[in-house]
Amino acid sequence: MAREYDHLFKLLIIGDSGVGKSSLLLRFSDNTFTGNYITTIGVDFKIRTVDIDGERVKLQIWDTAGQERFRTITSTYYRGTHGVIVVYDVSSGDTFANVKRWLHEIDQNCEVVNRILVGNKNDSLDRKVVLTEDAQRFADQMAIQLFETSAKENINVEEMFMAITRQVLRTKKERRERQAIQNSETVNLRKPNKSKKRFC
Amino acid sequence: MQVFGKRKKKIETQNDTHERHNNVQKEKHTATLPEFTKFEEKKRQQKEKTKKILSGLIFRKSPEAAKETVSVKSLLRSETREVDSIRSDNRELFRKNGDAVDNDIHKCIKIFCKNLIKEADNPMTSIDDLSERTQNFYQLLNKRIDEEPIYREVSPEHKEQLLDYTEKYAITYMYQLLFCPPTTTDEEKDLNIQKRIRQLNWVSAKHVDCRINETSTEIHDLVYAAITELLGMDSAKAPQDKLGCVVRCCSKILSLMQLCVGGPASADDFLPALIFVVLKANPARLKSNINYVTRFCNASRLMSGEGGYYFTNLCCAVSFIENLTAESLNMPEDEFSQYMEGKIVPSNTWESALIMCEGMHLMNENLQKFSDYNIRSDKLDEDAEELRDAMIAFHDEMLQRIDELKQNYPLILKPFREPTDLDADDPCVLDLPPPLSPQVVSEKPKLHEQDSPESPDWRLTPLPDQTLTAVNYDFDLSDLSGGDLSTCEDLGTPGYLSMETASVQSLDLNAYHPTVVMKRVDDVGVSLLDDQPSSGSSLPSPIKPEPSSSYQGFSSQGWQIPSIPCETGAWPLGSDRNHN
Repeated sequence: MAREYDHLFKLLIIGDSGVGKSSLLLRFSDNTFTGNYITTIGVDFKIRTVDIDGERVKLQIWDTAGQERFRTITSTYYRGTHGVIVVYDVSSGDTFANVKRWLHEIDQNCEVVNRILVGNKNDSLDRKVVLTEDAQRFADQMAIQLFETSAKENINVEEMFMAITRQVLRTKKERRERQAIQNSETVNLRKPNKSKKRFC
Repeated sequence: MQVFGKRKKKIETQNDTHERHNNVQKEKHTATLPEFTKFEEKKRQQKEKTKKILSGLIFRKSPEAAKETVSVKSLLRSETREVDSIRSDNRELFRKNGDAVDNDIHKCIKIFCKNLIKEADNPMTSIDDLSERTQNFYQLLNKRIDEEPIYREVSPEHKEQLLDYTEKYAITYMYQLLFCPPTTTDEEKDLNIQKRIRQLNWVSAKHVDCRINETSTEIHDLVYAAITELLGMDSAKAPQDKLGCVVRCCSKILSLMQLCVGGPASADDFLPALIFVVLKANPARLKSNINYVTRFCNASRLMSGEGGYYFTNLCCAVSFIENLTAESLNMPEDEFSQYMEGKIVPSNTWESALIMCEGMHLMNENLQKFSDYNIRSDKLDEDAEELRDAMIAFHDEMLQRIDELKQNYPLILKPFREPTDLDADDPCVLDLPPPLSPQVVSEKPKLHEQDSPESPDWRLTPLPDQTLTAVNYDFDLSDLSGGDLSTCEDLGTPGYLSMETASVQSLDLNAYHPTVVMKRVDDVGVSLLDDQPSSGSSLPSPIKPEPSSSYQGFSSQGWQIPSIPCETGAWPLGSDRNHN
């Protein structure tokens, strides 16, 4: 079937309030920064189609509210999500400390999902408090890829989104292969498992 | 099967009302529990309505159960018109894709609906089962459309539309069956959340960390627009239409947040605003609507896309409201409970802001009017200035032009030429009158005076005579006298009088006057008429004594003029002339 894309993925951006989730999204989707551009109405839902190794991948990126008080209710966002971008602010130690909680949140709501860790606002060395080494150590420990970006200066944003997209695409292909093997090994059931994809 | 199911249901419900407290019926407990509560509710309502007492419990139940199955058919029938309109709306789609597609789609829908209605009739099936079957149907249909040869020609876009249509058609058809079904606690939840939102009416934008500017009228309008969209969700029937309402509501909120924040609104701003709007809207049957969409809207649509995103946000907002505590509003526990019990009312509520806003609104309106007037008055001043300038410019230009003209065409005062001309003419005039006319005039008036003094003959006769010409200006002899006018003055001869002087003189009763003449003709006799042409100076004396001033019959105009100046102004002139 001829479509304008080969894959459709849903990505979620989470992280504390004010770490620049929306700015990242805006930079990636419209190549603008909030500070100097006001034509976009909202940034909480964006679509961009990217090309990865000749395959067109349509990305639907959902922004989420980062306030502490809304944390418990955001679980509904995770439905059908393929990848999660966890953002912290390199100039704020608290937001980095909360990353662990966010990752825990993901684990609670999704069994298998691709994740990526992003330290945003990496544009001023004076204000940087979360050292790259510390972040990298933590990322290795959690088995998660780390990116340090700046939405303001447009540093690493594109690369980061491409990385998570690649990751999601790889997972999808792996799963498909696994399924193909399974299908060939087991007797094909006439009725597919219905509740398989209800959550995540 | 259906009948059996009904019966079983009846038995079950009876059993359960009797043994509810004993918690029996373990195996079907989870599946049927909602049903009991529903029945409880129904019973309660019935009780209130009929005011009957418990004894008729069993009696009441059986007709009710029977009614339920009967009503299924009638309920579905009530949707047929809407379904037909959906079908006619999509006629174009099927016309493009041919009858085979049309038939196949409707066959699928028919089979699906039939099965689902049958399922729904079975009290053992929960709403979740129905939902799962529906989602399965969507998936199967998707597969079918992708694989079946008759759909090979259909474009991907049309395939989407076909799926959309199927969903809309089938679910709308079974709306009454699937929306807030009696087997669920949806209705109860609706009432609960409604009550909760009512209790939370004191929550202001600030409480939920929402940066809505509550006092701006523009923001108010947008909030109302968003609320209206959200309220519209209950009246839509197809899941995607309900979703559409949510999307419209949310895009309104986004644009209003953009105004408040002054830039693109992020999810950090959006979710609180949505919560605020839900709190202020208190939409009807909120839970039922959300559950209905969750169950019967195509799951793929809900998990991705704009509609899915906003719907997810709405679910979050509702769940936040349900689980709202003092902590989530950042306020002390006791303060929260006092608010909830209505013991204290915060000053900064939406309502008070509304009242304030009303005044602000009026003020703004007036301010706007004033500024408008200001602009207009400024404009007026400007225009006046402009006009003045234009006038000055015009004046200057005029003067300049006149100067130019004066230069180009200098005014050369030429010596009078007329006197010489007139002098030349005069002799002729002088020559002409004397010979014949006096005789004729004197004759004619005598003849005609009795018949009609205004007869043409009479008028014409005095022409040659100077005095008479002058007097007769009333009879339109100006053409003739015009030439004479200047002549007379220039000459200054006593015999020739200008029109004016003549008339004045004529008023003078001493002066020569046709009327007078007439009178005299009457009174004195013919002899006087003979003298008339000879000279004016000789005439006055006979006229003086006459009472002819009272005469009015001859000419109204000629009469009217004399009455004014004659007594004073005419005398010297007349006398002068007399002397001359």
